[in-house]
Amino acid sequence: MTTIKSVLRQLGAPVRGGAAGREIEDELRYHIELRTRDNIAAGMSPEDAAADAMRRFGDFDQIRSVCEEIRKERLAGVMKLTKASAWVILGCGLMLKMSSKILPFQNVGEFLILISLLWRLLIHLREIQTDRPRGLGYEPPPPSIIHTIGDLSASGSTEDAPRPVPTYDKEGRTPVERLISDEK
Amino acid sequence: MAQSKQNLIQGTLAMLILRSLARGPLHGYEIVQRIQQSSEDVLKVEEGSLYPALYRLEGEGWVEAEWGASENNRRAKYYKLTRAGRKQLAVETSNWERLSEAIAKVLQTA
Repeated sequence: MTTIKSVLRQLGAPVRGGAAGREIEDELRYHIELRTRDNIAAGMSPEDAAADAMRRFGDFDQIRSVCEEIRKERLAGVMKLTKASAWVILGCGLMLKMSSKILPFQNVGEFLILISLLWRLLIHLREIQTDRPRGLGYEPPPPSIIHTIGDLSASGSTEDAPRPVPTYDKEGRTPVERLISDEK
Repeated sequence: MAQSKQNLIQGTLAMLILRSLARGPLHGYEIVQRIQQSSEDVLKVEEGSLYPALYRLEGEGWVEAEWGASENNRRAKYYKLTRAGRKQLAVETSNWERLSEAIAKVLQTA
């Protein structure tokens, strides 16, 4: 039931596309407001509280556009599913119509229409299946939100953490390649 | 001694979000707080990164969102776990436990 509600809500999204964009912004802004409020309650000045909330949140514009992108992708998936369902209904309707007349198909034209409907349905289903892999942690996140673990500075920031930089020698070999050829 | 905060390993944020929502609907800010409080402030969530993760989980059908009134009477978007999300949480928790056990074994023996 909840899934049906969710699909119906998503189907309504193109009509309220602008509103959905504003909803994302409202949601993100509300988060920053709450963090600012808590910072003030903890004794920060309003300016410091707001600056800290923004810093903790990260790049607002980028996060908003990533969210919008995800929402659009999801919407595209729902639209594909809707189209596929429409083809199924059409195909079933045609099959019923034909089976009520005579079996097997008498009219070559109707048979070809049915085959083409089923073919399109298969294509839609394949598109839906190959859209994206399922499961947690296997989708590459946008660069700004990649989480790392490692030695962090006392402030907890990753900015100062050492980052691996590939070093190549004069022959263009990586350290690993160099090690292997040195061992030989 | 200053306690260093650990950023999350990639992929674990989604699992932690699902776990946070297992007790009931929460809005984004509450989810961040729940994760930080449950980890006794050890885990640090880059707060903005929560939302793309939430939108992906919603796309997978593991959480669903609904606008409601927050405790201070503001409009807030509340997320709740779906039945599929609950199943996924069980799968991910079991995977995580196997992975951490394996790492612990390596650390003990290597």
